[in-house]
Amino acid sequence: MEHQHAAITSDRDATEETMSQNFATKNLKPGLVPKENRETVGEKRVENPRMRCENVDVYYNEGEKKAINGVSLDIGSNEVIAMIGPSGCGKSTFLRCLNRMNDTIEGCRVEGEITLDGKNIYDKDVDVVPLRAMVGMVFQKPNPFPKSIYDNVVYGPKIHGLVQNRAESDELVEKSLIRAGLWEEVKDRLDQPGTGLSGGQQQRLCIARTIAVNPEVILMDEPCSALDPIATAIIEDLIDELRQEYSIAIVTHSMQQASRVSQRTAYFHLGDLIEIGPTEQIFLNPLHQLTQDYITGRFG
Amino acid sequence: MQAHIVKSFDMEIQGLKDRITQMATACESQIEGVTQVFSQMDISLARDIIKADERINRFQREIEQEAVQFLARRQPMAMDLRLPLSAIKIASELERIGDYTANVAKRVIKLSQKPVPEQAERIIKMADISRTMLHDAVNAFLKLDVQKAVVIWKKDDEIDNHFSRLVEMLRNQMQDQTHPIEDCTQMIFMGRCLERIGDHITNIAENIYYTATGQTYISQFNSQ
Repeated sequence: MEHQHAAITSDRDATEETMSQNFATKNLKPGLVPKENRETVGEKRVENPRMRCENVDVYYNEGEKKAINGVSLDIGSNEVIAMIGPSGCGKSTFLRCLNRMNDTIEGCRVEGEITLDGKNIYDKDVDVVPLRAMVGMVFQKPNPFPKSIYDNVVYGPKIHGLVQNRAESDELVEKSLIRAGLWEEVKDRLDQPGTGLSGGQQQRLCIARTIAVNPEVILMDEPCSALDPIATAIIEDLIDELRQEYSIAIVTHSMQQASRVSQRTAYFHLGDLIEIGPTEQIFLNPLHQLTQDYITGRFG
Repeated sequence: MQAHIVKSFDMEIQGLKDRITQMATACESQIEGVTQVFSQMDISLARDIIKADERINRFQREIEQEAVQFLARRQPMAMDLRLPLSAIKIASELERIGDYTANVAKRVIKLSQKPVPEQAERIIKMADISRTMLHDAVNAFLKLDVQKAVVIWKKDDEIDNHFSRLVEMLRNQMQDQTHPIEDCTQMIFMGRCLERIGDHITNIAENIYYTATGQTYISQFNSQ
């Protein structure tokens, strides 16, 4: 302690003036961005983004209700980005824009630009079927098809023409199940129904199904909220591994989960992207009052 | 600051703050006691101070325990996370402050004669400044007052100056051989204890700064 103090004292002597100047210019003065300010704070952009969103607005009910207000953010390659916020903040709506799942909702309109590897996914010439293979989705409740484990995995690849024969199918099923961390548990019962697995296993089967069609991005909408802590831990471990190959955007109500699995975090509030930044910054030292209120349980 | 949705969360935070206040108040009265012991050469009060240190040590253990329980049960974020961490660190600074006051009391008992008034005044002055600093530090902690934390942090320089002057005087005295060397050495150590108390209070100020801002370097603060 004495040592530390000595260091600080000399530091103060030597650089107090410049430090003060830096402090003033960088505006590091304590104090959060006030609640009224709804401009996004933090760094929205990353180098080499996989997806880039520019001024995205989403309207429901034929334009009567605006669910998302001008959200811009990047999804980097090989990163997990967590989207958090209270119910109704628009995080799931925003997630569903990323593979045009909102197209299925009548009266829903998306404006702005969302690009995947530079190509606007809302362009007229974009076919949503291959798009949704490239940007796969895992839902809150595991939803395997009422088919065998094997068929669950191979269904998508068959539709997309990724496999031509039984041997290729076998190989892809094994590879996908291994990547999803499920192979060892199911390799002897691939012909049994996927719905017969436990909740956590079903969710990993859905992940296997998603990665079988060779996506670039995986969207996860509260993938663990129906699972027990052990199944959750297995999925979180899997997310860590999947990040090596894919970009992952995850919506979660568990702030602990967001802080554990993601590298960047985006905080949504009533359709606005309030703050985005490195996960450790969001949870240790948020810049916006609304972010701080939410993550410390003061939202009300 | 808006209240938490969970009321018991706020109650536990308040509990931690109360405990820190109690511990700091106990330390303040130890420093106050040292001033009295010194000005009146009150040996029996010196013994009380030495004994009372155990109470301060107990406070530290309790604060640590409460803070760890809070962390485990609440899994707090942002400033709610920094607060229990700072509580643990502040409690350990206060515990050291308690040790130093007891140490001064022990050394007073060993003095063979009254110190010369000029030196006694220095010691008392150092104790007074540190007591005020500590008092302000507790208030700054309760309100998470960054400005005040910076003022306290800078105030330590005054204690350091008094200590340098004291050492100079004692060095001369030892050269002149006008006072028992043994007493002079005790006086230097006592001054050293008080100087260290000042350092620990600056550490507390740094913790307050960190709790409030999330930043570690208080020297970055532009106090205007």
